[in-house]
Amino acid sequence: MPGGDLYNHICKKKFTEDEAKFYAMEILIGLEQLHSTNYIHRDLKVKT
Amino acid sequence: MNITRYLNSYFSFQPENILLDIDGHANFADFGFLKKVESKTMLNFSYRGTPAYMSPELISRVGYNYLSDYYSFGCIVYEMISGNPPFVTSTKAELFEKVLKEEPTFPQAWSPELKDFLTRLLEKCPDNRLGANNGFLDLVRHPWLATVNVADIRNKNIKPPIIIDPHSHYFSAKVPDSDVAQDLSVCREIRLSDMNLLDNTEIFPTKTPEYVDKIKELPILKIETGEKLSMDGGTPMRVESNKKMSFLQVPSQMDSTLGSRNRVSTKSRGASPESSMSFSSASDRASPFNSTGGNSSRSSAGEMEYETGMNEIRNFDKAPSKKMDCYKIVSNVKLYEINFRSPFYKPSE
Repeated sequence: MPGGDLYNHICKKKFTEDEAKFYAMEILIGLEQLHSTNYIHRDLKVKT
Repeated sequence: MNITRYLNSYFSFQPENILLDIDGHANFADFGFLKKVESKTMLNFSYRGTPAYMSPELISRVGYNYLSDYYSFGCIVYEMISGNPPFVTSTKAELFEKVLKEEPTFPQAWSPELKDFLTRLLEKCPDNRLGANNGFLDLVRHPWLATVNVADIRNKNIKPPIIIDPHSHYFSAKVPDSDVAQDLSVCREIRLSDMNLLDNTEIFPTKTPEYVDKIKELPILKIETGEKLSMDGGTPMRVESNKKMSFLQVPSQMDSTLGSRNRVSTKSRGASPESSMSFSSASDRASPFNSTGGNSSRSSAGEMEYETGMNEIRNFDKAPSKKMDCYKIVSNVKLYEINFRSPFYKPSE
C-alpha cells in the first residue's frame, strides 16, 4: 500500500478533528460493509 | 474503504491493519481475525484481538458481537486525534483493569461533540454503546459525524486530508499493481554494495525513483519462516545468523520456473523495459546476474526477477518476528539490504 499505514501518519502528525472525521468515516464505511455481510472484524487497530 | 479487494488476499505482514493508498484513502489490510457470524447480534466467545483495542466485553469473556468493533473503532478515533489509545499502561493486566473499570478522559480542547461521540463508543456496556440500536446509522447520525456526507465518502468525492507524496518513503507509483506495491511499502531501502569495494555501498531509500529500478534486481528469495531463508528454484543459499545470506547465482530461467501468475502480473504492471535494469558501473563488472542470465533478454528477465522476488516475499506464511527488521542479502558482488518494518519516519521529520 503506497500510502503507508495509518499509524505512521498519526506518529508523524496527530490528526485534527476534521482529518480524523474523514478517516473515521472511511473506516466506518468499511466496517459497515463487513457488518452488513455478517462479519465482525475483531481486530481493528492502528498498531500492535 | 475498499473491502473486497483485500478480503481474498489476507495479508498478515503488517500488524497495522489500516493502510492508505496512493490517493490517501484508508483500506483494511488485515482480516486475520475476521469472523463470520450467523447474525449480527449473536454473541461470540472466542478470545481474539489486540489488547489496546479490545472491548470490555471481549476482555471479560461474557460474549461479544459487532458492537465490540465499535469500541475498537472508538479507540482508533481517539488515537488519531490524541496520538495514543484511550488507555495506556505498561502491562496488559493494568490495561484490562482500566478498560473494565475506568472512564476515558479527554483533552479539554476537544469539541463537545467528539467527547460525546467517544464517550458513547467507549461505553463499557455494549447494550448502551452507540450503535446498539441502529448500528451504522447511530454512528453516522451522531452530531460529530453528521457533518460528513456518507455518500461523498463512499463515492470518494472528498479529497483525503493526507496527501501522499509520491517521492516519500512510500514511493511505489511506478508499480501500479496494488499487491506488488503493498510489498514495496514494507521495504525501506535497499543497499547495494560491490563486495570487492566494500566502502562503495550505494543506498537506495524508497523515496528515490532509483529504488524502484534497484528493487527489480532482487533475487528470488523465499522466506519460509521468520528465521529461515532459502532460495526458491535456485542454488541453495547459506543463511548466517546475522541474517546475511549469500548465494552463488540467480536462476536464469525465470520464464520456465515461474507460473503464469507472474506473467500476468508483469503484463499488468507495464513497467518500462529501459528502467528495469540500470546497474551502476561498479557493480556491472562481475555481477552474477549478468553472467547467468544472458544479456539478450535483459529487460524482461529483470522484470520477471523483480516480480518473482516480490511474489515470493509476499508469500510469507507468517510475519517475520518483530526483532527482524532487516535482511541483508549478499551475492558475490552485491549486498542487498531490505529493511522491513523499520520506522518510516524519524520523529524529527
